[in-house]
Amino acid sequence: VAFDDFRVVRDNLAGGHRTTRGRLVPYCMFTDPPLAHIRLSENEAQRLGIPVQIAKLPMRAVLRSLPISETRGFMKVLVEAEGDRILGFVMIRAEAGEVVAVVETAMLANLPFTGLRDAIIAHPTMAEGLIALFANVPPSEKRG
Amino acid sequence: MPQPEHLDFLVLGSGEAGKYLAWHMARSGHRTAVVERKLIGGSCPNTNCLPSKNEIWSAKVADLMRHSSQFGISAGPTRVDMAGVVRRKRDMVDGLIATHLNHYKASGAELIMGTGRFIAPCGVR
Repeated sequence: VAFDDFRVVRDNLAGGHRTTRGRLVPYCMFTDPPLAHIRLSENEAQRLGIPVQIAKLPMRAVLRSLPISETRGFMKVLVEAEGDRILGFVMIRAEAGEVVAVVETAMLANLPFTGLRDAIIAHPTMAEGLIALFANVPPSEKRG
Repeated sequence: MPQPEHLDFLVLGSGEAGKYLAWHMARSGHRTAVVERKLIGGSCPNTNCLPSKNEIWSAKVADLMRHSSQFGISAGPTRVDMAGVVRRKRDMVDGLIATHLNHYKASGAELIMGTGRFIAPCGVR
């Protein structure tokens, strides 16, 4: 975040008009296992009354977790209730910080969640779990 | 000669693409069977993708142990117990096969152990 503060100030000193508002800021807590998160959480969505579709995937369902004995934990994603934008993501287990970067990239690019769901991701990696996670997003009537 | 049996879908080989297609078609209400010669689930869970990564992980543990002093950890002499390495891998593969068999049961797709070959454009023996 502080590095982005530097870029904002640098660009403004050069005549730009950037602010620090609305930045997409993930975090990774380097516990063992690590916990990584970006943007909206389930609690926050409830508190703010934001309608969301939630999908969860136990880490055991991610094939990469088996050979490295990292089978406890989960991935969870929040998608717009009546749309296909990703609103938030959280993961607890090995490589969580790397996987959250994949989701962040999709969010930065405004990629619908189906873009990741239908992707081919290297096998077996933790990020590959995103395919099964997004396949678990409940269907929305408006989404069709 | 045995009586021919009619199926909606017959998949030769229970590897990644075939098994998911068979489970999907069976869940959608089609009479579906898979013919598998040897490895239930194909190469990925049995001999390739996952068992190799399993052993590589054990190798990484051995490597970390051997270089533990670099990380400020003093460990005793390290010895690789290859039987233990193989056992860990085998347990994982057995678990994966059990998961596959559950998917066959839950989906209703039949798993036939044996060899199949085409004897007509729409006939397999």
